[in-house]
Parts: sequence; structure tokens; C-alpha cells
Amino acid sequence: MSHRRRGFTLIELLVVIAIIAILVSLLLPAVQQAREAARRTQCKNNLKQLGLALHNYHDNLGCLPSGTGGNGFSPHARILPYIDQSPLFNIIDFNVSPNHANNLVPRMMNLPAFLCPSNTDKLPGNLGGRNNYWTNTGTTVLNGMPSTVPGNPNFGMPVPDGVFFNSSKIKFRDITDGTSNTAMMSEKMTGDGSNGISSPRTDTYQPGTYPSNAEEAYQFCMAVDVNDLSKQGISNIGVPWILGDNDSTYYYHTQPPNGRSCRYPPSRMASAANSEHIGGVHLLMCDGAVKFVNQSIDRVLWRAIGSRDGGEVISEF
Amino acid sequence: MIRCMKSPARLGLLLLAVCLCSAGCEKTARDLHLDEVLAHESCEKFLTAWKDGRSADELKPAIIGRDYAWDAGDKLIAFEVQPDVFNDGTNLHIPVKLSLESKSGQASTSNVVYVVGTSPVITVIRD
Repeated sequence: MSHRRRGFTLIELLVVIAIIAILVSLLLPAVQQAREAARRTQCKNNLKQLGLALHNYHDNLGCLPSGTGGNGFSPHARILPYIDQSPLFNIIDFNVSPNHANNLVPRMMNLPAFLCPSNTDKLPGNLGGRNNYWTNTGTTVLNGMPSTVPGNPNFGMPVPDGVFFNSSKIKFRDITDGTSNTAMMSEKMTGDGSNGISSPRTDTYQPGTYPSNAEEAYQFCMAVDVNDLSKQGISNIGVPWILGDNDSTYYYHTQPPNGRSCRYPPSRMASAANSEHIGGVHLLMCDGAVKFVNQSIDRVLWRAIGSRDGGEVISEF
Repeated sequence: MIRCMKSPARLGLLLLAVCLCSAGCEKTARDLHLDEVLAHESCEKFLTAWKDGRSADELKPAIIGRDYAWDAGDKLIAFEVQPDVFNDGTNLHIPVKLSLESKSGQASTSNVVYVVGTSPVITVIRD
């Protein structure tokens, strides 16, 4: 008596596998989109929470934290008690620099509140805690305050017109353009960590030119040959969050969202807000609202949103 | 017959599993190897070229480097590599004390940091 068992033939199996593979390939983009949508929602929510924390800070202390406060600490370090991070706040030694050995533990710590889940982290591990949420320093091109020494190339340059800069301590009443018309924070991706690789979205380039205003900074930056590695400037972008600096916590409204970032001699900057979300960036307004701004926004309008007291008329965006 | 069918079936299932798993693997770290000795040597070569009055472009393609004071025409009179070197895993951060002379003849000293990478190419960029 024959006990021959009927099984699947090779062809049948291959056909089934092929069908499953086709179905998976159709499904994967949808799954990835759903995952990115979830990450984007979390990213937006983080920005909202930071806005609430900054408002609570203002309610308690009568002003917003400085973009770069005493000893160089960032606003992020100052608002820790308002995002349920009092224990971390308490171990920071504000009497010394953020880079001092006393602050090694907080400097190296990654906080989910400062991380956008959509960001791809390519930085070396030991540079410090990452930051994807940057404060608005405005539409001027100086990194810091203008020189008070006649003859210095930065003498007489305009003071930053954003909300966070050196010892700024801006009050809501100082935001005369209106809190609903002025940017407080936006997103920025971390850098690629290597000057040997050109990443136009995240690297900060060095055109070697001397811009005096926002439009010159934009034009000079766009003229850079990004394939020329000698034009690399900063690739370690977004670390550490504890340090208030142009490559870790504050950005400029000179460049459009997802635009190119540059630095120029002597001590001039144009670092753009950017994100891995398709088509734009999230923007926290000073009234606490979070909007998604399209990267094709008019540069003049983007700069108007960046200044706190420019008197511009802000249209819908 | 069933036994001989198991092998392609397993292979197919394995391929399917690999495809599914790869969907969650887009965020991977890169390995950009840093050669510390080469980084030190490259930084010294870069600064020596400046001190000798050459241009940064002459070092290409072996070393791709940039210093805005060099670009501006400042002369490097002397340099001294400081001990607090920091290795971030991809780059070597080398502190250097520069003695400079501007085009107008004004002498100055400044403490700067060069970020030196050795992979995929050698780069020496002033921080």
C-alpha cells in the first residue's frame, strides 16, 4: 500500500513567496508613512511642551531665559524644572562653564524632550546630549552682540532681533510684533559628524565672505560649492544641549526652512531651521502655538516671523 | 518530496524575514575610522604649510583644510599644539596656540581648535 503524501511543489512555494513579497512591498511604504506620522506627531508635541515650559519660566521669573546665559548655558538647561527634570537641573553646576568637568554627566545626557524622533542621529557618541529644538535668535547675522570697539569689523552691526541671544532675557511685552507673529523655537537636525562628507541639509559651510545683512548671508551661502570639502565649517551640529551656542541651540531666521547653513568671518552666522519631515519644519510661536511651515515660504515673510520688533505685517502662512 | 521542498521553503521564509526586518533598520550608525597619529601629522603639516607661506590649496588632495585667518592673508609666525586633545570617535579636536601677524603687521596670539578627520578623506578645519 502506497503512503505517498501530497506536498507543495517548488513552483507553488515560489509563487506564494512571490505573492507575499509583492504584498509586503506594497505594504511597507504605508507602514513607514504611518511610523513617520507618529514620529512627526511626537516631534510636534515635544515642541509644544517646550513652549509651555518657556511660558511657565516666564510666569515665574518675569522673562524668558537668555539664548546664552551666564557661563554660556542654554535656555534648555534653564527650563529643566518645567519639563519634569528637576533632579537633572539640580546636578548642573551653573557657577562654571557647561564644558567644565563638573557638568560632564548632564552634558552627556540625552533627554527625550529635546529629541525629535524623526531625526537620524549620525553624530559620534561622546560629543554630548543631542538637541533638535533650537531657539530663534532673529534675522541679524552676528553670532553674539556687536563689538563696542570702533574699528572692529562688527562695530555698529545691529543687535539680534529675535527672542534668544546673549543675555537677552526678553519679556513678552518686548515682543511688539505680537507673540502670535513671532517665532520662539523650531527644529534642526543633528549634523553628520564628519567634515569629510558633505551633507547640504545638515552641514554648516564657510563661504569665506563677509555678509552684512540677511539677504547677503543667504546669497553667499547658496553660492557655495557644497562638493568642495574645504568649504566645510561645522559638522558636529546639535550637541550638547546644555551649551547655548550657534551650533547647539540657537538658529537664525535669515535662511528659509530646510535651507543651507553657513558661517562667515568675523563671527557671523546663518544657520537654518530644518527637519526630516517632508516639505518643511515645525515652528513654535511665542504664543505657544505650533505650526508646520512649508519650506517654500517667502524669505521676507520668514524673516518677518523671526524678528520680535520689526513692525512687519505678517500674512497667513 | 516534502523533505526536498523544505529547503526552498525555508529559504523563501528566510528571505521574507530579512525583508521584514530590514524595514526597521534605516537608522544605522556609520563607522568613520579615525587614525589619531595621521590626524596629528596632518594638522602639523597643515600648519607648517601656512607657516612656510604656502597656500592651503597646495595641500590638496592629500589634506583638505581651511582656516579663515589664513584665507584673510594673516601670516603664521609660530604654532604650538596644546595637550588637551579630544577624540570624539570620528574627529580629533586639537587645540593649538597660534602666533599671527595680520596684513597690517599687527601681531596677535589666539587659542584655537582644529577638528581633524581622517576618514573618508583627511580634513583639517578650524572650529
